[in-house]
Amino acid sequence: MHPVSSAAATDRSHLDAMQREIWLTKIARARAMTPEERFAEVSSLTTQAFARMHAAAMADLGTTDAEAGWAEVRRRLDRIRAARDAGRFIPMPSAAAPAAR
Amino acid sequence: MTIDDLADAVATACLAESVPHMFTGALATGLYGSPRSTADVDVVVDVADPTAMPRLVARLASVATFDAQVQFDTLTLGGRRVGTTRGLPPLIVELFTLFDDPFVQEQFARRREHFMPTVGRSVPVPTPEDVIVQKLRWGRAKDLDDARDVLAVQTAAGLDMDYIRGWCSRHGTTAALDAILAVLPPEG
Repeated sequence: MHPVSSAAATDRSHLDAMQREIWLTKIARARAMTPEERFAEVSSLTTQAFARMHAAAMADLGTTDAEAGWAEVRRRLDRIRAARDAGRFIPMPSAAAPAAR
Repeated sequence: MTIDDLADAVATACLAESVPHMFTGALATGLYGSPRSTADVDVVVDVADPTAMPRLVARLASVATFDAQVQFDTLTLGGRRVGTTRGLPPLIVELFTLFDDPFVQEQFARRREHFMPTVGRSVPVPTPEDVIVQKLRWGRAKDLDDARDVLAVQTAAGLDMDYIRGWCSRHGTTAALDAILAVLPPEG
């Protein structure tokens, strides 16, 4: 382990301050929006995010095949979900099924 | 298919099958907090009738392919069915079954209708207080960020903090709540 240099600590502190500033700007913007506007932005951001994921996947694969790009997006999302759900969700044995209301 | 199309299809299916439901996840978080993109439509469904879930899944079959296996949430002890859209982009619909958990029951009972302009209809969603309690309970990094953002946008003064604290105390998440409250920006 190397001790953290003062320059690195300053950089980290600067980065933290910058991240907080960005977050505060994001929160101030969200506060100024109506719930309906925020709801609509989820949709808009989602459409944009998928377009970017698709473009990035195709670039990474070096392909112009759109279907191959979507297959890669699907594979990446599956990996993310598997990591997110690891240990949390397991196949349900029928005897353990929770009582529905 | 867009996330709105998927939400509309799920709401339509739930109404057609008379399944009481409530949209959660990023759609609910985005309503009250800072909007973010998502790949999932998460819905809590009241399927006390054992035929209800199969009917719902069958109703959605033209839109999504569902895993045959029901999944079990080891944290909240609920069940989940996961479907992937047939069209592109590859979106996910997660159907969480309503079950005998005091918080889940109360959250569901307190749900309210909110208009989704991009879907063109009102849909039931949890209250902001319940979104915060749920996110703190799940406790993953993304969930804690969502809880923080909802608290920051709605402000503690605008929320029923006694209600939130009550559930956090029962769930053992008071420390996480206090950590978030300590970093919130000034209100107003």
